[in-house]
Amino acid sequence: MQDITRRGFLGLALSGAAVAAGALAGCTPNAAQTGSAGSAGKAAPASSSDTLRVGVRADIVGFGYLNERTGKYYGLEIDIAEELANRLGYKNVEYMTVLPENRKELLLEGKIDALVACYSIAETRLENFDFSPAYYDDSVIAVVQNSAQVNSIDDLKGATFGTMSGANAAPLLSIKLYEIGFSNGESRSLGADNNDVLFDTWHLLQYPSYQELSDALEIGEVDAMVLDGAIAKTYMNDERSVLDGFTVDEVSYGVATQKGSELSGRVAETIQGMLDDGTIGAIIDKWD
Amino acid sequence: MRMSKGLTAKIAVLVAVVLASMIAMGVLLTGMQGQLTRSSYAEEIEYEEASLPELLEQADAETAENTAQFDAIYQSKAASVSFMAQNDAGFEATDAKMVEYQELLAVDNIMIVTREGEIVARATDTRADFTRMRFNRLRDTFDTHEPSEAVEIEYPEEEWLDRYYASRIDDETMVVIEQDPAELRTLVESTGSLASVLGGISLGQDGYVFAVSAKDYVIEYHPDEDLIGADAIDAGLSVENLEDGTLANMTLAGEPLFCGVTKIGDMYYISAVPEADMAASSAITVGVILFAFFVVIAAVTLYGIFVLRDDERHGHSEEDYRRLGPVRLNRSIAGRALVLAIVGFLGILVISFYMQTLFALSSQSLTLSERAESIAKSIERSQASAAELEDQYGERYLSKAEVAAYIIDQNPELATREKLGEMADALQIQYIFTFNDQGVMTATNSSFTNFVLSEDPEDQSYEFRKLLQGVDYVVQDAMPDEVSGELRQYIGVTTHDASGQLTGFVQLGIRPTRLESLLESVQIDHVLDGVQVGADGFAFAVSKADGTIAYYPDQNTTGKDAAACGITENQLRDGFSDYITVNGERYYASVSETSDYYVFVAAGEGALMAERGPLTIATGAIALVCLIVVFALIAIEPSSRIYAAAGSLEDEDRKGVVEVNIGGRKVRTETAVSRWLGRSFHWDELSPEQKVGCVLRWFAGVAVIVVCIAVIFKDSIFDKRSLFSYILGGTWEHGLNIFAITASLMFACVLATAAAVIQKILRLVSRVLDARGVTMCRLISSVVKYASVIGMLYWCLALLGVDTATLLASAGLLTFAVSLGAQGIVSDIIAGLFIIFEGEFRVGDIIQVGGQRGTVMEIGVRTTKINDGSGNILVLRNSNISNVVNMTKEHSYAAVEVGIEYGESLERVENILAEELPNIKKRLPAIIDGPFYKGVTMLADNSVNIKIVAECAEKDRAPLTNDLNREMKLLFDKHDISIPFPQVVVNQPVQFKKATAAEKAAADRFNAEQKEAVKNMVDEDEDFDESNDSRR
Repeated sequence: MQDITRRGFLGLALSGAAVAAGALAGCTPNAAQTGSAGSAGKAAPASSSDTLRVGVRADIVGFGYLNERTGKYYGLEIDIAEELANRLGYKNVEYMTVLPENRKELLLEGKIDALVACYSIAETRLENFDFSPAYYDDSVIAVVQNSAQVNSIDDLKGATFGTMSGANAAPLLSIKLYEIGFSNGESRSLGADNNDVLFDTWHLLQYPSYQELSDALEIGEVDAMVLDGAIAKTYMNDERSVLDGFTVDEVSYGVATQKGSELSGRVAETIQGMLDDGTIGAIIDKWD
Repeated sequence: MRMSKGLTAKIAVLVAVVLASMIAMGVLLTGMQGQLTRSSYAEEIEYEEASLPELLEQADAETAENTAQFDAIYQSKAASVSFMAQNDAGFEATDAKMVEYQELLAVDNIMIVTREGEIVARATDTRADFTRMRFNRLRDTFDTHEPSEAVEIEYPEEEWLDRYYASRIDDETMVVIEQDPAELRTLVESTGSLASVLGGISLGQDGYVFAVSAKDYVIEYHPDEDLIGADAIDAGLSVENLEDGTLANMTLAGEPLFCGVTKIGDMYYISAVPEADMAASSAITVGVILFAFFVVIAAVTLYGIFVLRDDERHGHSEEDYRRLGPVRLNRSIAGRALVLAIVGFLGILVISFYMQTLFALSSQSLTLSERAESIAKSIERSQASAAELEDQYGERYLSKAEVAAYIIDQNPELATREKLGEMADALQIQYIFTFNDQGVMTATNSSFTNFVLSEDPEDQSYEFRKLLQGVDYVVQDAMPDEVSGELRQYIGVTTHDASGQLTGFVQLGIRPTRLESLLESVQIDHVLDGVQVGADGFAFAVSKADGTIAYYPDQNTTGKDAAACGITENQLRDGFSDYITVNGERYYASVSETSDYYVFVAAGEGALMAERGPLTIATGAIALVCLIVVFALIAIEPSSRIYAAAGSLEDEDRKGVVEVNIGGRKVRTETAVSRWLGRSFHWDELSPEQKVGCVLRWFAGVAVIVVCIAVIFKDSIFDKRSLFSYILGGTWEHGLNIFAITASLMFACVLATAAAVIQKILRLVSRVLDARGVTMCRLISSVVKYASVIGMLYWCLALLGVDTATLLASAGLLTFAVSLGAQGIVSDIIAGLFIIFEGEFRVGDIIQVGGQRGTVMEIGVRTTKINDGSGNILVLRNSNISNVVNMTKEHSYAAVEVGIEYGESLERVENILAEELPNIKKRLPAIIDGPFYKGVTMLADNSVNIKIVAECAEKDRAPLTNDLNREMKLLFDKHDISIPFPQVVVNQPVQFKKATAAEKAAADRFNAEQKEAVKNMVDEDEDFDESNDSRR
């Protein structure tokens, strides 16, 4: 694992982004794991036929948010999952909170049938999963404190960027910074678990949760935090702003299902149907 | 007797119609009332929503202003340290010096930091790492040469909340002040926070505005603190409803609300009115109107049913009907049913209008008085805060003066015009003056020169002489400048040389613009200017000091004398709530009192009042339709159907009921005896009119008892702030208004119930007591009755605004007048009242007063008119009516006494009587029972007297007596029984016939039978003896 990661960073410098992206995310399973997990998933029956098990986020307001007092989830992804299950003919939907670090495993192992969890459609992910058409388009952005007086990405030369480990913001950021010539893409030193990476012109710190990432920005430990726009909304305040003219990447969230499972086609079809008849538009509108 | 099928069907239809109309009325009333309430609340919500953005903007501006003020204080502190560093005022970049400055400036921490962010010296440790980009803003001071803007770090996890301010010392170092902004937070919380804005908004009685974050649906503000922070979706709101512009019913934490949603920024503001609030007030109104409607329609229907049933039982005469084509009108029903219906209809109209008015006025009254109270409170609060503000500002500037004095102490060379100017800039004040120990000004940055402290105690500067006599500082209150009239404040702090010797003092001259504007904002006109109540309401104030209008939305009125504008003396008091007239315009207003003002909140009559007319008409229309249907059903029937007469009109005897003549019309009435004895009747024996009367009494009883219960248990049944509580609370104006009338009615209900209960108990008690106990019970019962009536009158008059003290005094006066001469009339009147109250007799009764007998025609206040039967009308003064014999009894007895010759065989006569008496009855229809043979009453000188009595109605007694006499004469003639009369008889012994044994036996039997038959009968002379009461 460590080897792969290190090579990934070197590879980034040499040839490109794709491999590194997966590596930075820190959880690319190796081929063997993929195979076993995949077969395990196939072996286990999808579920008893009347319940759809969906992996959702519990911490993103407006998308998937768990109210701990009631144990109920709220958000547009919850509504989408509900409607999806309804159209697929399931009587019940069972939600399971997933975290960026465990969502792949949960799906691969067949503990959940589908992921509706701000999971962006990425090439690396397409290798392991099937994705429905995108139900939400978002961009990965950088948020800075106003008091740091950063007006453009160039002001952030030598600065510290923060991301959440497990999200794919970090690989996307390194690619973007490389592309715009901000950095040569070479990592100089690597901390444990890739959480503290020093590049030539910038420093990457990764945090286990968005809250901690936000706190790091508050106390100045990081100078900019890079994350999905949808998630950033939760952590914005008057003293913060989105860095102008800098978009790390466009991302699209899709419903992920096991590669090649019988559910994939139906899910993709249903989501497309919900897009076509405006259901998803209405849900997004409702939660906006 | 069983009801016929036709009647049963008809009754079923009637009941169905009544139920249907009740439902229709209920639905209509609830709907209209609900709609009305809703629309009035919707209007208010709309207004609130429209004014919300401005309120929030104001709050934001306030917050910004407060923050800027706070920042300015610490910026100036940082600048003053820079000034000291730059001007050789004992500055050293050491930790010890920093601690000294920390104390002098009263800040949390003070540091010297390099441009890169290295800390050179500090008072205490800090968690901040100034090398980070986060603090770039502080470095601005190197470029601007001004203190930097604040950088705030808020990291609750580590309890790290600080603001940082920097001021340049030289190009490489800066002073950084670290300060916990808790004070600022508190200020913002109380002036600019969501809670402070939304907390001040009220909708109707219990309505409020709460805020829900559009981001995470967390309730950001709610009057109930427990709900703040809760998930709104979880608490019951639906996401669909949370859209800008929604007006819908929602549920929050189990409470149904009528809500309007408006979205401003990232927040949904929800104006909510509890539905219970809306329903509770209208439920009583609807309930009362429905009850009235029910009573009316039930009375008409029941009357119809009773008459039909009665007809069926007793038959009817054809003349009662009037053919109208295929149908016929039952005239006997139609007339009275029509009267009942019309009176009932009018009643419904009156009650409906009354209830709507009550409802509208009381809800407006409640709203206005609550608003007035809250305004009064906020005036008091702002006055208190003004005083606090002045203190705060004094303290703040004192601290600046101390810094200035410290700097001068450290480097007296700085007391020059130029340096003082710089210092004034650093301290952010207008003027600095330095004085020597003689009170002579030595330097200043102002244009004043050659100033010496005045020695005249009247002068403003005299106070500062204290500084030269050992006082450390003087803070003068802000006051208008003698020259410019601007608000200005002076503060002085003594200066010392190195040895501690007094060298003079430093004086700051401040123009406290912020304080000025703050003080202005607590002025009465500022507070009242923003008040808007409903669509057309406003607030104004009358000064207590001089009785002028201190503020009025119309500029011209402000400053005028309140009385000249139409406000009367009695309106100027706390809690007043009624109509007022200002400049000829009529408003409904409530008043609340502050220490300096009477605050009026006034509004037009409002939508509710405007709607009561149409509402009443709608109610009336429905009632009319329902009544017409019911009337048609009971009074009109197909011509073909004839009820078989089940018996003769006279076949059934009605006990306790007599027919009397009132104004030429025959009316059945209860006999006096049964009235007094409270005898209960068999339902079937009552006439339809009595039955309806009885039912109406029940309804009235139910209504009275319900009101009584509601009054007694008001606290547990009704919300403290409900309309009902308001009416019972008695905070409204005493006088001839709807609240007073309502309260009077309620009080009467309570008293009536209480009196009735007591009387009932007494009656029950009297059953088990002996005669004296019974007398006592009746006496107490009577006392209770009069006491309750007098108490009620007295109380209600008081509520209606009659001065009861005067009333009592006038009672004394009355007594005096009576004793002087008016007593005849007065005693007549009182006697009349007693006759009516005690029910000694009624109109239609046959009474005997002092030997005069007749039918009561009229009981007046002063006189009573009696028809003596021959058309003569006796007018009796009420006070002269005593020893009344009420002869309206169940039955009277016509009695005749006939003498028989001594020689006649009594047995034979008795046998003849036994045979003939039934025949007499047949011939004389006036006889109700009998005639009976009462036996030998006297063995007189010339005859054996026997008595024959017959039961009859009192009105028939005299003619029947005559008839009986005639019958007896004819009978005796027929049977050769001679009636002795004074005559000369030539005696020829006659062999009298002896009675046979059979005759003897028959005579004995007859005697015994007759005795048995008249055992319960009393002679006329014994009419009122105890045996008659035995049925009690």
